[in-house]
Amino acid sequence: MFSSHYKKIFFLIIVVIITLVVIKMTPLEREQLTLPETVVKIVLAPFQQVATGLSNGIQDSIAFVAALGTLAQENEQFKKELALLKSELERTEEYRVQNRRLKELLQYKQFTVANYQLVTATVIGRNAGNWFATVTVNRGKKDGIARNMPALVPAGLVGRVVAVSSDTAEILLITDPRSGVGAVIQQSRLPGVVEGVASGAGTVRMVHLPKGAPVKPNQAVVTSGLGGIYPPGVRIGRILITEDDPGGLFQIAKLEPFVDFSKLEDLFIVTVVYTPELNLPVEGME
Amino acid sequence: MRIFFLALILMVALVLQTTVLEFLTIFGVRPDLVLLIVILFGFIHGSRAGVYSGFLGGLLTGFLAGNYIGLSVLAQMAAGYLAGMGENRFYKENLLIAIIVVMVGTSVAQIIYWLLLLMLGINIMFVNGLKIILIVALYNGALTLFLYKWFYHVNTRGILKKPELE
Repeated sequence: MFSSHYKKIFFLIIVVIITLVVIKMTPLEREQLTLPETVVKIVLAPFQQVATGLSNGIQDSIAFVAALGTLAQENEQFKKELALLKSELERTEEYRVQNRRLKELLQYKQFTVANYQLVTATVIGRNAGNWFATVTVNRGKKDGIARNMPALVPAGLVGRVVAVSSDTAEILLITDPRSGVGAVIQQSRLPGVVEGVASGAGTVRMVHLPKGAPVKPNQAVVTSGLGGIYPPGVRIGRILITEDDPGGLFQIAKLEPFVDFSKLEDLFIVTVVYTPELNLPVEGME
Repeated sequence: MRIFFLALILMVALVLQTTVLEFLTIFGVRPDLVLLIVILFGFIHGSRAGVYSGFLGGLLTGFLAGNYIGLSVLAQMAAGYLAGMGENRFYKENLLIAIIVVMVGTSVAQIIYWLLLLMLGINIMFVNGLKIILIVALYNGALTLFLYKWFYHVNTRGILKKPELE
């Protein structure tokens, strides 16, 4: 009786130790997924795809019916906004031309911002828990997806690829507590790191901002391109509030991401980036 | 045969959890269906069954997530074991007791998960962690209200019934 009781406890301790070792051995960044992971992913992927498709459909129809009443009014508003944006676009075009001319004057080598080669992908599943923020998409090795490729939507930065199977890829969202993105405040070029808080939080935070630096609500934060994974200039979020880091030297800004991660359906994976800083003289980074 | 059906139910729960439930979040937090089933299975069949179902549920969750395999295994095994301790102590047909067991078990599993994250050097701010634990526990408790009658039936008369010794 006694010995069987001890046997059980011994067995349990062994299981716990093995599990702890396995946790340590299977971090986020790995070259290759193991066989059981691949099998579970491949078996469940079609079901996830169908379930996500159905829920998206139902949600879209509900949203459509709910929006019927306000469509005319919205249409009117869009027309006004369109006119405004058109004029803005013309002005931007002016700047673009001017920019090119000035660059030629400065003899900058040609570089192309926003020159990405993209693959579109559909979200088929989410992380099962509430702590981590990852999504599974329906593109994998077969489509040329590899680890550390950035993922974007027109609204802004989504995250990066952390694991790939033949048909699916796992994307670490910028809201995941394990994510860190080199970023700058768009206007002041003040650098920092944008970290996830937790999947359920809905916000991210920018750390390593010097105390006393001019960080204000509503300022936009974009990727800095440092670190080599994310291309520079991709929009991340808008500053909500700032607070002093209890540690002393820094302040922390709370950000609202430009991307609505709860409604993420399709995204782009950047397979090739022509990094501009490679072609730029060093002082061009200032 | 029973383990096959249990695995199947856990997989269905996992698929729902990673897809449909994303549209039913409360303050951005989803319920944990797999954990809910593990806890109820343990509560109805005892600690041993709870540990096994926790191992299975945690492993499936980990394989699908593709990283830190084992985080869910430990959290769910502990919850299954804890729920199983109530098997002989509480009246299993009482819905209220089942709800309380689920809420306590869910909280314990989430706290273990949080502690393991700390061990791995992943910091979650206290407010956010607390928010997740509270909402998941309440949400799982609320789901028990709707699912328990069916699940109890499946476990005492249906496909998850304990095989009788002959």
